[in-house]
Amino acid sequence: MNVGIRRVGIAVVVLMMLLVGQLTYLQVVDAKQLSRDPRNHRDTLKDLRAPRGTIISEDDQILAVSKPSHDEYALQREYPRGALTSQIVGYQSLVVGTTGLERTYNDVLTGRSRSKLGLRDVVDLLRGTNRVGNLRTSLRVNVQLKAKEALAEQRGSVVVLEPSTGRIVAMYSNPTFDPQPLTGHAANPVQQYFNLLNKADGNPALPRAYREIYPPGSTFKVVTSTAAIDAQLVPADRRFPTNKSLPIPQAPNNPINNFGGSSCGGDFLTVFTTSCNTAFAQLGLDLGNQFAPAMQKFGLYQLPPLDIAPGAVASTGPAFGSFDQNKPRFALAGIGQGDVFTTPLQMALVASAIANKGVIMKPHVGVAVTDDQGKLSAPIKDQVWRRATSEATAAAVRDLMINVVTSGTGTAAQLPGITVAGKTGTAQTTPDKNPHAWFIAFAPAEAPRYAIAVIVENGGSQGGDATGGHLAAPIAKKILEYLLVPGTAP
Amino acid sequence: MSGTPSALARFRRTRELSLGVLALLITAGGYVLLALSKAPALPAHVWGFLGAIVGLFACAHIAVRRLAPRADATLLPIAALLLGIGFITISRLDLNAKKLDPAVGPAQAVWIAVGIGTFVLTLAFVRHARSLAHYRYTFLLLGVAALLVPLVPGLGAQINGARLWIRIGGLTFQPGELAKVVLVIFFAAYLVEKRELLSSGSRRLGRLYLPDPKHLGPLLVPWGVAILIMVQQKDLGSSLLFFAVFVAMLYIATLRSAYLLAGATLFAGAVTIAYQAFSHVQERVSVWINPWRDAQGQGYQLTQSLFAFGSGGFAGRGIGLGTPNIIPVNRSDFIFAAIGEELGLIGTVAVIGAFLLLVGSAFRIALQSERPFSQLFAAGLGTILGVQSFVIIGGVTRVIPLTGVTLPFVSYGGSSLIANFVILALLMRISDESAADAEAKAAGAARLLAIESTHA
Amino acid sequence: MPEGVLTVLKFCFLALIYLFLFRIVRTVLAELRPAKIPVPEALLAEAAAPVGTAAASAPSKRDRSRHWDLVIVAPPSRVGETYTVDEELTVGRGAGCAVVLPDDTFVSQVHARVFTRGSDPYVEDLGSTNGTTLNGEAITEPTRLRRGDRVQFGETVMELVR
Repeated sequence: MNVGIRRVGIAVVVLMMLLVGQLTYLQVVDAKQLSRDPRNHRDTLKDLRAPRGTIISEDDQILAVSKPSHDEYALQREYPRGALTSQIVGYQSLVVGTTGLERTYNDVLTGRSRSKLGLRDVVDLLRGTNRVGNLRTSLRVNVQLKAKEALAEQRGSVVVLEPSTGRIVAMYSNPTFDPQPLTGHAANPVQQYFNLLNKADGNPALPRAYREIYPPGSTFKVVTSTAAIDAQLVPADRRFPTNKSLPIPQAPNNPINNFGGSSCGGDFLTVFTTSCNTAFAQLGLDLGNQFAPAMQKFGLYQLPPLDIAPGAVASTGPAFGSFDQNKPRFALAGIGQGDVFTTPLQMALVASAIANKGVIMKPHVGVAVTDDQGKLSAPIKDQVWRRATSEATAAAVRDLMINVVTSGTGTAAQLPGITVAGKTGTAQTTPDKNPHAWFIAFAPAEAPRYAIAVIVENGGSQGGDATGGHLAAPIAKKILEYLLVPGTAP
Repeated sequence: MSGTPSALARFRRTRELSLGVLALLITAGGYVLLALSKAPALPAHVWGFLGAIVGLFACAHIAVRRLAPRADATLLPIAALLLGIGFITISRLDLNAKKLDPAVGPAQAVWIAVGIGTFVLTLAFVRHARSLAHYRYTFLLLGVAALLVPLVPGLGAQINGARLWIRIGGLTFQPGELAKVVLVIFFAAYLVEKRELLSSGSRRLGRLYLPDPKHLGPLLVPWGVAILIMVQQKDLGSSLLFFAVFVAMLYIATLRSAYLLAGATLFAGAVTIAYQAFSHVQERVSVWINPWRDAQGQGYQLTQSLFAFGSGGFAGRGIGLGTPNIIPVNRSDFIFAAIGEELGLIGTVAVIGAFLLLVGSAFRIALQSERPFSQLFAAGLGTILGVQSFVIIGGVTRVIPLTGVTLPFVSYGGSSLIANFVILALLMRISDESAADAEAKAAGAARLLAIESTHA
Repeated sequence: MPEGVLTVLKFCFLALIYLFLFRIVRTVLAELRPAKIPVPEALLAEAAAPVGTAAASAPSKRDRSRHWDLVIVAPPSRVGETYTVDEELTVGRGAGCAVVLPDDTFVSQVHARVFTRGSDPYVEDLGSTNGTTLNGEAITEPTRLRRGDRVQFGETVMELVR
């Protein structure tokens, strides 16, 4: 009997070891992920009672601040700019969790992350005092207001960033939402408001600028051109035949037509400036399986490293290596249709790649952490994300884009005394809906300070007649003008 | 019983006392620490608390000195530690008690006192473990009856979807907890009586020798009935526990791995049938496979438990500094998650270590005994403690599907506490008896030797 | 109370729990180390003392070179099989026994043991179903054997020889 007793005893020991193993996994290996899960309210609860730093815009406006709440939590978050910045700043909510900068920079704001641990920190720790950090951002409330004003009632997005640093200057989408009701501590009204938000027409809780993807239409020809030049498909003497439509292999009944049924062709500069679909569809076919890797260099298929939780979604393109099975998809990709879907942020990054000599910086809003006295305690570094193309190719594409604004489809974006490089897009969606109007640009073209992407969904105020040049380019112009032309008061 | 305690008895009781004092110190320390987390002052009734825990331990300890002086030294202190950790955790959860999540600390204190009373009474009434074997069929009837009582209309009460409680006045009690113990008595007695017949097969089936069904029948029938009742009452945890303990005891008695195989097959069959037949079983399994799919619905309990462990991390949030009240059923089934959040991996591993030592002591007692019934009975009781803690800790950590049983000595719950104190008392009785046997034997051998040498 | 101090106290609390577990392990080991149960030796001396001091030293004075054998005298099928009694000889139907009696259905799996204390052989019944007899009388405790004694397990009879 003793043998049996020993064996059963060993079995119990093995079972217990199994538990220790699982606990080690839960409490060490997976602990961070579990404690950070947005459905785990513990950190929020803890942070809610703790002092929390302020979030400040580049133009010294307060974006988020803690105020006394006179209940068991003692503090409540306040967002003075409300809906204007909610899709970037996010919110800290007891009931529905924390998002946006509030979540990404939670450790900074609560004072939990400190670059160096000095003697004073140990003393602080023992005394239980907590020195919070304030977050300085690159966001400019005045530009954000300008974007809101320019979009007016139309649904869409504006993204403005600095090509050389990746700092986001403005990122506004319409519709948006007021975050203030979410900071309440009573569960029921907050949950009701949250449910209402998620069911509301136009989905205001969705930050379209970085979490919605659209067909980019002709603005994508910037990517197609870069890929074609890098693949040496457009030598100086290449001429594109003047046609109304281009027959597509594997899809004889669905040729690609030019905009408005017109004919176009000619040299590369001409077809770019006139946004000639037949020429770019041909380039899509010429690129074939080289096309998807070229898109990837611009950041498609990837999650952009945006510092706004829960992060940006990936933009998509046709499947790698699928050209032989699916040639029409590559012809469509050449003109930014078909399988190509991008976020407005991604298209701003495309413009910034051309502006910044082929290099894309990591897009970010947080710029520096300051201590309670407002002194800089830790800068947040600008970092390179990826190289999209060579400096030479970027220069060549820049010249194409300059021509679009001086003499092509984008003349509405011209600024007095400043060279603007841009590209328009009018993207087909479903047949029963009006096209999206796009414009991407950067300026000044010689020494770019700002890159911009504008989208107005489904024709905006112009309905079926909307084009990128008529609807989106003027919005970009207003904002670039405000940023670059002195004396343009808000 | 001899007037002066033997050297072994002195050694064991001294150790029990010093270990017990340490366990009390830990309990008191945790209680003070909990109060300090809320205000920088000692808790108002700290002396009363100290007096109560010292008094309760002293009762148990003195009873052991009188009634089972040679019994194992580690059981009572380990139980005291687990009770202490459990009580601190319950008091901690009570700090944030709400209407839907009421305070149970005072009730638990009363139950602990009642449990210690039961412990003393068990030691007083059961003077010889072997005498229990004589009443095996009485215990069988008692066990089955205890399982059936909650089904009696008017007496039974349904709590959390499981009908395994009886309500008398304002008190609820779970007789199934005690049924476990008495049915293990029956199993042990029956198996010892029939082990020869069960371990040598008389019927051939292919390459397997099967025991005569007339010997196996009386064993399988009550066991099957017990399991059926528990499935009927939706108490999956107890069914699982029963299954495991039964198979383990059968294996210990016969050493035939064929029984393990048969047990596994039967278990797989039972699980399949239960899965097909009961939606709550399907729900438990699907939540176990992926708790995140419906984290706000069916998976809520488990995901909140996992979050508690994750947030606790390696070192824990600190007593009183976490938010374990978010976890559902946090005072009974999920109490281990609350411990995991505030004491971290260091704390959870310590609790598992304590259970391991408790079960280890039970098995050591089984090995030290020379009486087959006592051996099997002690091993069965040890298996109950081990498997029950595995089932619930494994359930809340997603090692196995969650089935609600209590964590012995730690969870809130009167029936469970009383049953566990009975187990404790019986183990100490067996231990005391084997030590007495060994002493008698050694004395006998020595006497023989002495007589022999005078002849030489 | 500052959180830092509470954290330090928490670690003290956890350390105490581990100290407790460590001391439990020490207690268990303390019992295991000297012998299976530490007391018998003490008791041995205690019990032997009144009879004579020779007891303690007696075993060592005995001639250890002589050994005892057990010879089967019944049933006829196994007569003559001889087993030497060293430290311990277990008798039973189980395969693990030193003397295996598979055909004797009245013998338990592990039926009895014959062992030496000092150089004297003893027989002890291990809770067998049908008991063990020494020269026809059932034994209830470890019993000293002498040359020519007959021990019966089930239907098997063995005789002690030198």
